[in-house]
Amino acid sequence: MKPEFDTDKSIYLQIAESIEDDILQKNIEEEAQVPSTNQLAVMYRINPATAAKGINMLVNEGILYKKRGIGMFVSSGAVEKIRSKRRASFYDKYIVPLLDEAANLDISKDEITDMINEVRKK
Amino acid sequence: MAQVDTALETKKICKSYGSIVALEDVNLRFAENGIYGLFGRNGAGKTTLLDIISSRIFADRGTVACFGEDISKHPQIIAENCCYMPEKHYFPARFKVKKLLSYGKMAFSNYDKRYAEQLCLDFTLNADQTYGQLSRGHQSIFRIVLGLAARAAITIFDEPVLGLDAVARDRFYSELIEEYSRNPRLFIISTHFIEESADLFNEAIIIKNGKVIRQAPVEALLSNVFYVSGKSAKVDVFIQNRTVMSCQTVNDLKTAVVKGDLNAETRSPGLRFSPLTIQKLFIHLTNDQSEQEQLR
Repeated sequence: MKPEFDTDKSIYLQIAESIEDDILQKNIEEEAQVPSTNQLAVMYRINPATAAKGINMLVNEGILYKKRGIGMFVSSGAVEKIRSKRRASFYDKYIVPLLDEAANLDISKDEITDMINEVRKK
Repeated sequence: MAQVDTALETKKICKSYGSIVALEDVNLRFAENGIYGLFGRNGAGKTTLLDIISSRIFADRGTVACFGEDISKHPQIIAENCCYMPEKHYFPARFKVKKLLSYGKMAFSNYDKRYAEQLCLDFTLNADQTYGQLSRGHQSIFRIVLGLAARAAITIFDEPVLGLDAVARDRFYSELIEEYSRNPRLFIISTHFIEESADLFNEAIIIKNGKVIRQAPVEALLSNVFYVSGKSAKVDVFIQNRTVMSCQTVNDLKTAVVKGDLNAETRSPGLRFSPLTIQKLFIHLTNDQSEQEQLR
């Protein structure tokens, strides 16, 4: 879980993304239980309805599912679902800002490619 | 059909003190379960509103309904269901905290004595001190303890964190959420600590010069306003035909607060878009100076 929220984004989205991060990084395995709405609300000092909105978003996407009377669990296949969803937004979220900043700094495409190849070698 | 989940509803409430209008046509609805934040500048009418809905004072015009009953005709409905912790309180200074807390059971039918004792420990409130010996912060804590442990269907706190340090404020926020999760009910809380408390609320109510200017979830308030900044000439083109709440210019650079949905804006070279914080939005909405700038 991330310790604090950023101010530039809706909190329910950050709740959902933070749980997704934990699933992608295997901090929470598939079929394992995730924190409850109330646990999240108390931990972050946020309204339980906000925490529920973030959790419900993941339920609607099939990433979490509810076991009646027990709590919320990670669906099997959740990792793949999150990956394909995030791949779709990778270009807008990471490449576009990268190229914007590169343009500000006058870094050419070749230089960027060199940097990426350099990292890959390590 | 009436909404069954409404705990409190005000209709066209007006209140004046001599020639000063304290409240004008206040229409508000509070659900049975929810935490509502009441924001407003000093003198905006927050305390007057809370005094009226808790039957401490009477409105000149308009009605307050509590669980569907007019409180002027059925005053017992407020006595039975509402715990109001006003900012100005008149607890006897010579009484010890534990004695005052022992009266809780008489005043509030759901009062939980054990919970009150636990809260005293959590907030390091010494129950053997007299009320008069308490510091300003600990007087606030006393009101918090009494208000939470009363477990009233409607709990109203006027400035509960006044004089509290950052640790005690944080403890109050976490205790409020925990208690609300355990025993959902209606909380109405006025505060000047907008930014740090905003995430607690189902809805925020902003009151200005006696009028309610906003009642909506914080996220909804923030979703239809944003900053645009860049070169003055470019910003000016962008803000043509848009509602501008305020503008700031430094040399040839301009930042404007514009109404609209930030997510619907497409990237535009040379212009930067960013969201407002709730505190900044509050300042823009309630600062009379920014309104004058807008008129110019």
